[in-house]
Amino acid sequence: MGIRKGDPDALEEFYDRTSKQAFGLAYRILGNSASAEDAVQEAYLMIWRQGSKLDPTRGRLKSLLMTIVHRRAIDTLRSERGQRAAGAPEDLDYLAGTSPDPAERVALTMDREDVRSALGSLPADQRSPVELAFFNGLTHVEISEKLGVPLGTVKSRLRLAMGKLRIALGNV
Amino acid sequence: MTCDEVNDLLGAFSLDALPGDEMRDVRDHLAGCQQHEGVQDLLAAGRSLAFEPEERDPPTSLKARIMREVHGETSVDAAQHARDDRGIFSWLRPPTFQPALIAVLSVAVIGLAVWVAVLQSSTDDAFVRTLAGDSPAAGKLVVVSNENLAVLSIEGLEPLASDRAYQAWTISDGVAESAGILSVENGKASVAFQLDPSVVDSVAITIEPAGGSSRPTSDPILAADL
Ligand SMILES: [Zn+2]
Repeated sequence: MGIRKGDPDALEEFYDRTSKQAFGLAYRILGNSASAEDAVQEAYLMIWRQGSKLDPTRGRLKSLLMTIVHRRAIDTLRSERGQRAAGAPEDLDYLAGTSPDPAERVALTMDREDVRSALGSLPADQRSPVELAFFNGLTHVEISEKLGVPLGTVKSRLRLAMGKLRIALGNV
Repeated sequence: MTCDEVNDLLGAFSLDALPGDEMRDVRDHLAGCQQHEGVQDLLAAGRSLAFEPEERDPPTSLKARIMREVHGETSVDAAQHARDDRGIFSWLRPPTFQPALIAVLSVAVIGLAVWVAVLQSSTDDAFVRTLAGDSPAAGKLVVVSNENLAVLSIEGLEPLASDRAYQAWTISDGVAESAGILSVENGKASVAFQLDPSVVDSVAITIEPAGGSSRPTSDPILAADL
């Protein structure tokens, strides 16, 4: 109810419920507190300013928060590397999707241990490109250079890995 | 891009690990192709990874900073935020906006592919405008620049006498061109039309004689500048 009515208490409650995960994600990507704080702050303020019609009781809001934090953090990383950001922070339509999805179920019911174990179940040669993409913001070409593996191999490993993750997370 | 090429890139795509132009090529292909099953699931699996890292306590100063900002903005009319439609939630807001769009696109000849294109457009090539005016109705215009496509969606339209109709217009250099007559159901109407945002200055709705006019004959009840 609250955030959609512009109720600061509701945002505060949402923050208390979600900020450890949000900050954990930002810190994992950025590796330092100051940048991670910036990413997290921007994400909550974006929710606050634009979330007037969202229903914060649903998992979606948390899932969305995490998506925004991720995108902000990756954009920061990429711009520190002198690369063009992949998208404006509000370019989340595609990422956030439109229907109940596994990420939403994660936010509602799953422990992060489930995601961790799904990721951990991948063979290292598939897990590592996924992590480089998601947590380091590398493109497939950069992953190929970094790992010294042909681009075609990186593409197929990413594809295999994501297919497995989809199944693993869908079956929880 | 062929289907095979796209399939080849879906893993990287779901992790946002493609250079921008390739990212766009894949989106464009997916928008017009029905051959790729489970892409949304793949994207969702990508997003789930955000829950993998260890939780970490943020410094208490962070909360204080955020809440100070929030309280500072509370005095601002909440409607101001609602009017800020360039943001993410204009795309995500299912209760009113998206079903309306889907409704349009299912009746409009352009079909689902356009809807997917709208959904998948990045902010580089799509934007939303809110129509404002002297009317209880509220309207939104989604423009997909690279497709020269616009979808107008309006709610809260008052019933008109049977000899009147709502008509949409694009206005370029002061010249209005009809974008279609709105077919209103339960106060809601939507229409999709071609719109070149580099040419069109604004979009407006007027009340016209049933059947429509070739030029507006009354003042707009709603309008939005591009
Ligand atoms: Zn295809």
